[in-house]
Amino acid sequence: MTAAAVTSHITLRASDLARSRAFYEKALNLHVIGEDPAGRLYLAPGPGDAAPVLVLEQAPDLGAERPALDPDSYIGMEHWAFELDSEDFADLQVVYRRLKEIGAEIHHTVDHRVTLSIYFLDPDRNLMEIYLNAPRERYAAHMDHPYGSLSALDDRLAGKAG
Amino acid sequence: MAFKVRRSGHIVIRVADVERSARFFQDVLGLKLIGSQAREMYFLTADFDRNHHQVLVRPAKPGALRSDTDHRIGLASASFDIGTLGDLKALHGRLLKNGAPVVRTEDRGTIKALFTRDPDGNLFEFYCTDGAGPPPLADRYEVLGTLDHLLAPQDA
Repeated sequence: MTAAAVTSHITLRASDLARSRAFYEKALNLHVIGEDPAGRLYLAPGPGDAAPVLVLEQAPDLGAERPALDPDSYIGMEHWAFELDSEDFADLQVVYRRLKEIGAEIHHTVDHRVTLSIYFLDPDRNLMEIYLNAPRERYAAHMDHPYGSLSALDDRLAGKAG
Repeated sequence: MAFKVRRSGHIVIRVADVERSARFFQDVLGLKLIGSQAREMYFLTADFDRNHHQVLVRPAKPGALRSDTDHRIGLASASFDIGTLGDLKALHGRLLKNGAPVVRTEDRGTIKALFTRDPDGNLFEFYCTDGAGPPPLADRYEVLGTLDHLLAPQDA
C-alpha cells in the first residue's frame, strides 16, 4: 500500500438493518447518504458527504437462531474504530454522554496516549471504537511505544475530573 | 449536539497465526510495522503522521472458533482506498506473487476495486478512484465489469 492509503469504510452484516441504522445515526451522528438496489445503506459523517464510512446490509435469515458473536471468542474482527473530527476533549465528552443517553453499552474507555478512546457495543454486539487523536506533540512522543501504561477515562469523560 | 466523525481509523483483527497475518499485511498490502508488543499485537499503518495504526493484528484467544466469514453477523468486509490505478495494479501483482486470493475485481467507473482475503478468510476490498473528485455514490456498488483487461499479468 502506498503512503496515500486511507482506511475507508466497513461493511457490517446486521441482524436487524433498521435497528442498526437507528443506532449509528444516534450514537455517531452518521447520516444515510444512499441505498443501493440490494438494500445496503451507506452512512457518512455528514448528510452532504460523498464517501461512506459505514455500510450496513441485512444479514440473510438462515432459519436458525444465531448467537451474537463475542469478539473474544472468534477469529475475526475484534473492533473497528472511527476518528472523531475534533481536537477537543470536550467533544469526546459529548460523544460519551450521547452513548450513555441512548443506552449504548460502553465496553471500556482508555487513554492510549496516541488516542483517547471509547469502546462501545452496537446492537449486534460488534465492538466499535470512537477516538480522539492526542495533540500532535503527545502523539509523536508516544507513537513508537503504542499502548503502554493505559488508564481508564470514565471520570474525565463524565466530567468528574480533569 | 454536533459532534462529527472525521473518518474511519482502523480495524483490529483476532487471528489464528499472528506472525502470518502481520506478514500478510506488510508484504501483500504494504503496510508498515509501527510497533509490536511481545508478539501479541502488531500495529500496522501507511500513515505514521496521524493514523497510528490502520490494521492491528493480535492472537485469537485459546479455543477461539472460526466464524463463517461469508454469513456471520458483523464484519462483511473492510475497505481501503489505496490511491491510484497504478497502486491497485501493484497490489494485484503482490497478491499473485504471495499466493493470496483475488476473490473478484469490479470496474465501477470512477472506482476500481479488488477483493481479497486475509489468511483467516476475512474479506478486504482495496480500491482506487480516478482522483477527479468524490466518486458518485452509485460507483460504490454499480458494477460495470471486471478489471481483467487492466490487471492482466504484465509479463504474460
